[in-house]
Amino acid sequence: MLNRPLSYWQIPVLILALALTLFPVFWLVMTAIKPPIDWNASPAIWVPSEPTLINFRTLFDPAAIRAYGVGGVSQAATKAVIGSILASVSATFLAMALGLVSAIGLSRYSRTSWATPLVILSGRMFPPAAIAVPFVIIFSLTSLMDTYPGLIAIYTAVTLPFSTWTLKSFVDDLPREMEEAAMLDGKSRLMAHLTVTVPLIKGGLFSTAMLVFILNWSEYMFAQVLSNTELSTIPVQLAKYVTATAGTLYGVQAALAVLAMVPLILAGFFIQGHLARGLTFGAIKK
Amino acid sequence: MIELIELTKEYPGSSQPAVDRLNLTIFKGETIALLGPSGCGKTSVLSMIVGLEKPTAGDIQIDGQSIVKVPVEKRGIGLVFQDYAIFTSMTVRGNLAFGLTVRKTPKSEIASKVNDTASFLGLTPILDVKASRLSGSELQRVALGRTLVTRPSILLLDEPLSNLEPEARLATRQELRRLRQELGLTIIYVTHDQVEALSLADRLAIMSFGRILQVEKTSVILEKPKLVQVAQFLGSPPMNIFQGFFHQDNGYLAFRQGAVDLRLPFKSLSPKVELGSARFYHLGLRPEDLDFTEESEPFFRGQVSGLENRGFDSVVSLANGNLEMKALDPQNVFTWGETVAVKAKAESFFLFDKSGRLMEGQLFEANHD
Amino acid sequence: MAEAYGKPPNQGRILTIPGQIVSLLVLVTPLVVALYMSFTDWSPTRSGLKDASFVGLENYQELLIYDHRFLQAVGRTALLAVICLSLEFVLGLGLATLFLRTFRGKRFFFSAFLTPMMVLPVVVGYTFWMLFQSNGPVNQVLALLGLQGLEWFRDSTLAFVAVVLTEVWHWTPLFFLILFSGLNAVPENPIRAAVILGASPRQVFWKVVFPAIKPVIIVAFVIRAMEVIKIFDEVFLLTRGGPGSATETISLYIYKLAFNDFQLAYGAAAAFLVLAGSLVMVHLLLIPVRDQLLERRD
Repeated sequence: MLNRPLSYWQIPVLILALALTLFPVFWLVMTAIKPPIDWNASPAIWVPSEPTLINFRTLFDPAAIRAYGVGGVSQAATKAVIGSILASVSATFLAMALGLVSAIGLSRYSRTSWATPLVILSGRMFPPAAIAVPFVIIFSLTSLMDTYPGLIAIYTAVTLPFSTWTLKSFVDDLPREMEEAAMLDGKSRLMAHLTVTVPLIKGGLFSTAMLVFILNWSEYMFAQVLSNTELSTIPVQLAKYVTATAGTLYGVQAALAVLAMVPLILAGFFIQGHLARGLTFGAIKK
Repeated sequence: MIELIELTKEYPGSSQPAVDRLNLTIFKGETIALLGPSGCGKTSVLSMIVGLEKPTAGDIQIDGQSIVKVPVEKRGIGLVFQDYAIFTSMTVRGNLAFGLTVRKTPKSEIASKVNDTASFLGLTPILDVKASRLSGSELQRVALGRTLVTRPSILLLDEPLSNLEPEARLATRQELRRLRQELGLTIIYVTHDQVEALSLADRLAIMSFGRILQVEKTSVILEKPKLVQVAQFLGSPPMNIFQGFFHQDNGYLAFRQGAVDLRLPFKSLSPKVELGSARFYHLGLRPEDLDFTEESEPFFRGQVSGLENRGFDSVVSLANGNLEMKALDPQNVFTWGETVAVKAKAESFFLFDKSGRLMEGQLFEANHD
Repeated sequence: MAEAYGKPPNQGRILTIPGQIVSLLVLVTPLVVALYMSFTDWSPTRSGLKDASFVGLENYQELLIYDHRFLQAVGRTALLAVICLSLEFVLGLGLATLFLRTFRGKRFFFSAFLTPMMVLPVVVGYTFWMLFQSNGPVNQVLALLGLQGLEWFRDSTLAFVAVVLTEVWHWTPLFFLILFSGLNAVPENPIRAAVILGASPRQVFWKVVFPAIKPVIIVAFVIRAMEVIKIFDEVFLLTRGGPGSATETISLYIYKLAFNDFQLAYGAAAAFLVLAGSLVMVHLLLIPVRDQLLERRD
């Protein structure tokens, strides 16, 4: 819209906004590289004079964690990191595979009524605490509590509507003629979709997968409710540090938080062009 | 009267000015077309006249008063965009009233002006239709009406026919003629389509690389292209232009381009035109002035290297070496690769000097056999 | 050509079946179970699921009439939504209009402004918990402005403000992104036409730009409203709903009912009330833009 340069008062506004936006992230990263003595200094230390990576090492060393001897947290974060990767990646894969098939089906073989997006949106509206209640009941009957398959099932279920609807918007954009040409060439429906449709929405598949991964990786409550001794994810572990020690493990928590955050910021950066579309369920095209 | 004086527009980051010291006078009540290929700066000229862009240098005057510093809305100039730029969230009525509502015109006045304009343009039946539901020619009339409601004295049109269906084009042409007659509007429009330019305008200004090559009455310009670039641009297909020199060959007068000789139907040249390879000229000949012939020593003989059937005739490209020319074949009889000869009458030749300017007056003495 | 799809129509629908089965198993079944439960008095600490007795609408009645804590949580969440969404909209729109201008490093600024959205809610909660400590950087800066020793987590109002600030920081980027995409898609010539016709910048915005981005604004509000209704992680780590229940949102209350007090049936009833309310709200909000969501092209 009518390209003009910033006017003089807008430049400081922009810079102030940038500072406010980045400050919490800056603070978190600074805390992660503070030596223990600086963690909770009064007044707070903004930039540590002797930055260190010791917090990251402590994080993966059970003995070092236990040495802080606070509130019964003696677990290193190793299990949580592995658990997060396992649960997020598997659930993302499942939700994408099922979502892709459903998206093609919805886009090509059925008429969408107003109810479909409403049902899908309502899946995203339901408070997770409420979804967790029946899961806990059913899972305790089927001994899926405190297991990764249980968590992966929940993650797949709650992200499936999202992946389906978003992928559908990508398939909708493709002209049917391309698939029809392949079908008339004698390919089966399935093959036509696998060889024509899927390669054409590669970009959409990738960005949707990233978004689903982001949702799974960030999820806290389901994992918290399901976990007991076997199951752990980074958010659960992070909350555990906060709960158990009332914050005395500042640096170590921050280190784990930074580790949790970096992959998401990178993922977000890669799919920046698709973010608006993904986050609005395909309602915005650009 | 609008005068563009040494009008210049430079965009940052571009080495060449989009509009380059352009001078043009537009008379009250006339319709003038700025004709040129895309990127020649014609749209920048419109934007500067209407006030969306400021000239880098030069002046725009209306009746002797500079308007460069006058704000857009006070210039009394209307612009209809190529894509019509309709406000799709409003009804036709909302669009027509827009220029008046934003100026806080009394409601009754808005209503009467909108109704007048609507009936003038035949929009009354669709006044309450959402603008997003209109067809191309309806959109154009709404865009016109939206501007006319504000009673501009000058109307600018950007490619007014290019987005329309053929039938709608005819209607628009009549509409614009009526506007001029009934409202006395001065109309300036830009186009890259010479048919569009020739069919609507009193005068044409041919533009290239930010400058005006020639301004001429529409009825005259085809007969008298002052510059070789203009000749190359006008006509369908445009004039054949040969570059080379005159020489005498076995008693014949010929024009040589590269290694090919064109045998000219003249006895001799007037003293203004010189012989010899040191004297470079552009020789022009319209495709429609070329006739096919059986004679043994024709103006030019070449192979058919291209055929474009236009229905009522074919455009035949003839080639010999690096020389190519186009001729018209009303009978559609030729085929690819065939060798064909053509001739032309002496009075149909145009001669341009080395710098591309048309040389006027008696230049040749015709053969009298 | 269309026959390749048309006949037989049911064959292609096989493709939607796997997704439907999974949804049925892991989404619909639990919801049906929960719905049934919400009509019982079941609590795992008291009895098995089979022994639970059917109490009809009692849970719902209790919630809507007698449970002030629930009603307060609903009101609080609504208030939070209104405040956060208004702030996020104004800030996001302001930022988006800045990005319509040209300036150096625009790509960097753009990415930087989207960063908060990418941070895990748990991490956001923890980070702001650090920032709002009595000896934290927020208080340090406020001290420079003459405001000494604020106790963010001990004062009801301040705790609520802290939650609002956290949410606004976290999600303004979403509004920014959506509104920026919307503004960028507004065609330029109608804006120029409006200027020529004499519209002031304000009139151009309200009469031409705003109607064009209205659907996008609605989409942004719906999506954010849905998220605020669910808000849990950030608040849980930041204030745990406290002090008292000053920052207790619907999600926090349901979580406490179900997993601290083990009133699963009662919690489920609360959840369905929330779902019903949100569905009605979303449906009403989305009516103006439903054609866009369904991609109907006339």
